[in-house]
Amino acid sequence: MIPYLAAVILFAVGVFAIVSGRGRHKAIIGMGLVHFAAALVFCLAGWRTGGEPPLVTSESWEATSRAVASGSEAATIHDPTAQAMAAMVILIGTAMTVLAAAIHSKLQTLSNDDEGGPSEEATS
Amino acid sequence: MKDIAAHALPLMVMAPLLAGLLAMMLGRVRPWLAAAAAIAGAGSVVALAARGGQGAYAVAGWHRLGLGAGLYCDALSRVFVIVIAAIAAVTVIHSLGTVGERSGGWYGLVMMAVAGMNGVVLAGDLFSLWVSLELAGVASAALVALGGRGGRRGDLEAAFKAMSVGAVASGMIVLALAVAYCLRGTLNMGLLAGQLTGPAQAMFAALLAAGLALKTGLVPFHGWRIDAARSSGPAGAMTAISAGACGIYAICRIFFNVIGVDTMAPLLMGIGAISAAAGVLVTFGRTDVRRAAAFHSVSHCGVIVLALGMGGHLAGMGATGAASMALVGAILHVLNSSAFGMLSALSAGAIGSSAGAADASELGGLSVTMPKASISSAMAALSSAGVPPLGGFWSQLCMIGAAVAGRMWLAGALLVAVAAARFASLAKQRAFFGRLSSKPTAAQDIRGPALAAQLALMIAVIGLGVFSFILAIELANPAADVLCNGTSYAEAVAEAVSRMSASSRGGR
Repeated sequence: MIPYLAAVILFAVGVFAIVSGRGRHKAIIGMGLVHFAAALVFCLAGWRTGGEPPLVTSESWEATSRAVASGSEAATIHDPTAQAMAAMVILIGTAMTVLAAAIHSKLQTLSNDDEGGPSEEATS
Repeated sequence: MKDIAAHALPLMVMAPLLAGLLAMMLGRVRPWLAAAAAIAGAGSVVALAARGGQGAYAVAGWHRLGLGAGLYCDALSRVFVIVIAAIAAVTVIHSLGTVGERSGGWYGLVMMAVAGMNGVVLAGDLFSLWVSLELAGVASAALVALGGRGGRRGDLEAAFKAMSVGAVASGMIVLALAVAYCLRGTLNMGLLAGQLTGPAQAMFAALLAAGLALKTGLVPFHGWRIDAARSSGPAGAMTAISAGACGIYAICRIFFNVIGVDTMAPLLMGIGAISAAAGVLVTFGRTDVRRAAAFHSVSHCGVIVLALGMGGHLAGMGATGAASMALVGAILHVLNSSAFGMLSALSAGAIGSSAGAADASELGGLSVTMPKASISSAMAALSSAGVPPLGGFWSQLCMIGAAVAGRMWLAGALLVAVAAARFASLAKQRAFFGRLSSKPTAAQDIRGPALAAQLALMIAVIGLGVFSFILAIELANPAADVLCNGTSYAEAVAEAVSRMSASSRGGR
């Protein structure tokens, strides 16, 4: 339960950092936190208590085959699909964070009297 | 040709990516060559959708385990594929005169956004849908940041805002997917259809509804969409309109075919009604023509979501005729609002860039100096307000007719009031047709590629009205049937997959 709670807290902190409007650098960190929280939930979705890593070696394959043949329960493995999806979430989250950081960097180099006028253009 | 038709679904995602790559290379030689590659990419998607783009596509037999990134295309997907390709083609044509030496990268990003959006509407599983949504979102944000003239402060801030809001929406959608995966061990939409019940369904639906409302830019999550639509150049208009289309597709597919809309209909009607009304009402006090156009597009998205909710509610009540009418109206309005929304945004942008101001109170009588932009603006406004025989009239008539047939008087009255209010809030028309401004302006009328793009959109707005009946039968009605069939989508996917497996065995 604690890892799920940690994911929820991480997500809430990330959303707060984005929507609180306390600066673009905090929003960028928030973007990363939101995606890491989501990736954590995916990892937890694939977690099996007492599970083995989802790697197929000749030993693990033989052990599983023997267990299946003898009718006993095969060793549990962690769900690799959930782990793959968590990796994808981290990848996309990182891409978004990098793009946001690049935009922030470009914005910092522009002064208010540049073409396009003041920053009020993009306020709602 | 038979092989191409058999692999049409992955090609509909791959073709824009290849066209984008080609555009990036050709952009170094001649900008128009890059544009031609991008238009060819958009055209090939439409051709593929017309030739063989129906059914399922799975790779390496993973679909038997409920895994893998399968693609699925039906009548509903086809409507959105056509809309996305058309929006992209118009954007590319319109931008020919403005992007200049940056054309290669710019068109490459447009095609990347198209590939992402096609991925959204063709995805057979929720994870692929989310990945595609993010791909489209990142490409669109980059386009907004580049803007029409490159690196303006307002454009960059709009892009940053779109990224921030997109991250929150993305997180919510991924959490919803994680919940579904925890409970069912699959994210395949065919296998999930109708399987989520009770509190799990409520949590999944709430997270998805919030995430998709943010992505679509519905009220009260519309701020990023308004800023993006106001950014310079056609990319902002494309981002706002296509984000709306993708969000509406995701709402249709997930709420109707995966969750089951009967329990979700009140939520959809509520969100839709608020967006439809607020999107029009807030334009009354504003004189910024670009902001008014952007708010109107939010209002039209709200109208579509309201009609979808009405359709779901009426289908649940057993009023299938009225439900079908509401859904046909909603699908037709997706086509219409994309055409006149794009036209409205581009003509409003023309005021900002040519007249040097976007405030209607400072402008007036632009019909004298900008007659072509005035006509395109008037055309968009008339269709948006539902004036016959333009396309907006027929789709809104369908929705109002469904509300009357289903005795949903409040929804019907709201739809009529919203359409009527659009007449009264045409700040932009004052800029064009109002009294000639005393302030001298050096406004130049639209010409060249911008004129060609707006002319194409004007023809589309008229054509959507004139051929409305044919479009309703050929495109909207089959798509409405997909929605009416609800969670029996699972059987349709299973049937398509078995057909595909049988044909591949036969091929061997």
